[in-house]
Amino acid sequence: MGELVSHLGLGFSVALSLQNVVLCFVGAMLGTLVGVLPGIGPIATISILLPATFGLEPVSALIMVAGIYYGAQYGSSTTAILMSIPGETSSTVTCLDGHQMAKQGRAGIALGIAAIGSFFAGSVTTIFVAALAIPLTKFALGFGPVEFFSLMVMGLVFAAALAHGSMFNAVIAIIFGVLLSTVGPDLVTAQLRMTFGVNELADGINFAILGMGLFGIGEILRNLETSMSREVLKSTIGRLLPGLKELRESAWPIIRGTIVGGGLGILPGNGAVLGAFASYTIEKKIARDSTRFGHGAIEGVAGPESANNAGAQASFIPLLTLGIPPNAVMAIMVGAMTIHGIVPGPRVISSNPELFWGLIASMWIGNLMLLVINLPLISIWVKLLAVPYRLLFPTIIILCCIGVYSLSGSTVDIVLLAVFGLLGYAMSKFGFEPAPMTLGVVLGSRLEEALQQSMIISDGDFSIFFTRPISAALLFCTAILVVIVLLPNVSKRREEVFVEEDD
Amino acid sequence: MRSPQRFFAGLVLIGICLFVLWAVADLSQGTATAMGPGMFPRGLAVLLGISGVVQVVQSFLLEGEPLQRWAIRGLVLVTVGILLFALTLRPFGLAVAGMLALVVSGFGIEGARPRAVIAFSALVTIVCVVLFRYILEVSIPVLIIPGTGIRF
Repeated sequence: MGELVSHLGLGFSVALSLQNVVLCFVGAMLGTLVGVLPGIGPIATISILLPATFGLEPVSALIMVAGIYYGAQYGSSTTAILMSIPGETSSTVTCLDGHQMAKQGRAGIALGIAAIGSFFAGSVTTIFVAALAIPLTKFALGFGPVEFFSLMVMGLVFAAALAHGSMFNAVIAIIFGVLLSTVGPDLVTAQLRMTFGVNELADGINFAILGMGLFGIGEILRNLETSMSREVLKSTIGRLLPGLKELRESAWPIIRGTIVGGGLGILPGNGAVLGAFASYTIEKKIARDSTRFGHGAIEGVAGPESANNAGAQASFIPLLTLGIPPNAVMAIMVGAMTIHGIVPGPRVISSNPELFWGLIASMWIGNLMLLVINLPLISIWVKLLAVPYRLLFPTIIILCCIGVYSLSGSTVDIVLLAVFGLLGYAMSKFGFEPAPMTLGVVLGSRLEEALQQSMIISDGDFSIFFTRPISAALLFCTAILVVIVLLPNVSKRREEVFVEEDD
Repeated sequence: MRSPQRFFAGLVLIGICLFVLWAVADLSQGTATAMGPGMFPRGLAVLLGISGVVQVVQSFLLEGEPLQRWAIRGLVLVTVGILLFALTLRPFGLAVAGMLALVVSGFGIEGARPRAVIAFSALVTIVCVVLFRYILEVSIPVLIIPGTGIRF
């Protein structure tokens, strides 16, 4: 316990420096600003804003990226409540009751309780993350390449199981991502692979460009084919602060949502996405009058929003302790870390303690910022919702172009941006999601390295993955998950969940 | 054929597999104990190829999605806009490249009005020049007129 306090103390001493507080604030503001713009989800927001953090020191850069992430998430809840447009999968549930509340003129209270719930969930999960960090890293430090290989396979398979649409397609997308990661120098001989004489590929595919292409440009190409006609809320926002009665109704849903979201969020696959769904289902099940759900029940906003934020925060755990990003946002986080020369994994906590604890402490500060800045500024965010898409998308394109050019002053990189944009669009046209692919790209080279080293250890014998106990256990869990997902009634349920959210 | 989308996805995957096998043909395979630079990409390409064959076979057995329509207008104009930016940035500077990219991609949406697009593009170009060159001090050329010696 004392250890935890001293670690958090170190973290706060880093995160509370004037520069870092300002950057966290700017990040949260920018994140919300871009995140509430219609048609731009959190992944796209972070990808687009990533270049803004490159000039900073590593700690400050990561704190700012994290701030952008919290802001973007809050922005996506705002669009979910006010316009019934979820910026990301996990805020789909918020649309159900949140938008109904908004239609009844209680938009302010829905936004308020979402912010309060998220703040509570964020605060609790920050401590949860800090407490789990040490034991999990100690556990992971005992891992050799064999165990890491199996762990990464497990993380990727979990992510595939929880991805949108067909699991087979998600697996293919991941394999394709891993294949893309082999572009560039070979790890041992430094021989160039598949660079086709392009100098810009000689260090491998730049993850920032890939992210901006897939999510920034690719999303624009997808949006351009659906007419972005939207129903902007006509009724007023109303008061923001919930009354005592509403707080009492929301208290338990917030607490339950935090537990559910935090618990699912630490899974090395994308468990966070399930948190909001699980929380909504629980609240609906135990409610005295479940017919209110779907018609503006405040529990249906408070629970899932808390679960969502708890999950978002908890998904830092597999990244920071094991080095395995559980979802596309964390994959971009890895990209940001790699650019600053930090290899995520169990060693970060001892090699960069300021960075590690500073980032954790900044989670709490980021959540506080959201509460303090966003509620008063809500009228500005509402105006932003009305920005027409025809003005928005050329602006994003030009920002992406300049952002990419500013990375290393190369115009070839801008061509690559267009290529990755086309790739993202083409993938979605064939029923593949770009999000699982990014995990493959990020983990690919470490996967190859771990495989190479394992093969050296075992003298070329693949059975080593099944004879080492930890590795065998991890692969066993993976196999069980695959079997569960493929069970007829589970796979039917899974499809239903994802169909529901596509509406 | 019952699911055209799956059929063509399978064909593309087989194509990627063959392309990668060709691209890494010169790299040594090595042995399992000492993996060469070619082994990992080759193995992944083969996995993709097998998945592609499975998809093609499935497309005759399972009911599935039809091929989706590609929205050519947005696709072409946005891509051309970005490529124009890449081509014109160095020789002419951000003022020209930005304007070109904004105008061309701006027409990518249905019902774009020429005057509105041009006016908005000019505004965004000016904001970008001021923001990136003079506030954030990114080293990016602003305006170059070849032959006149004008460079900013």
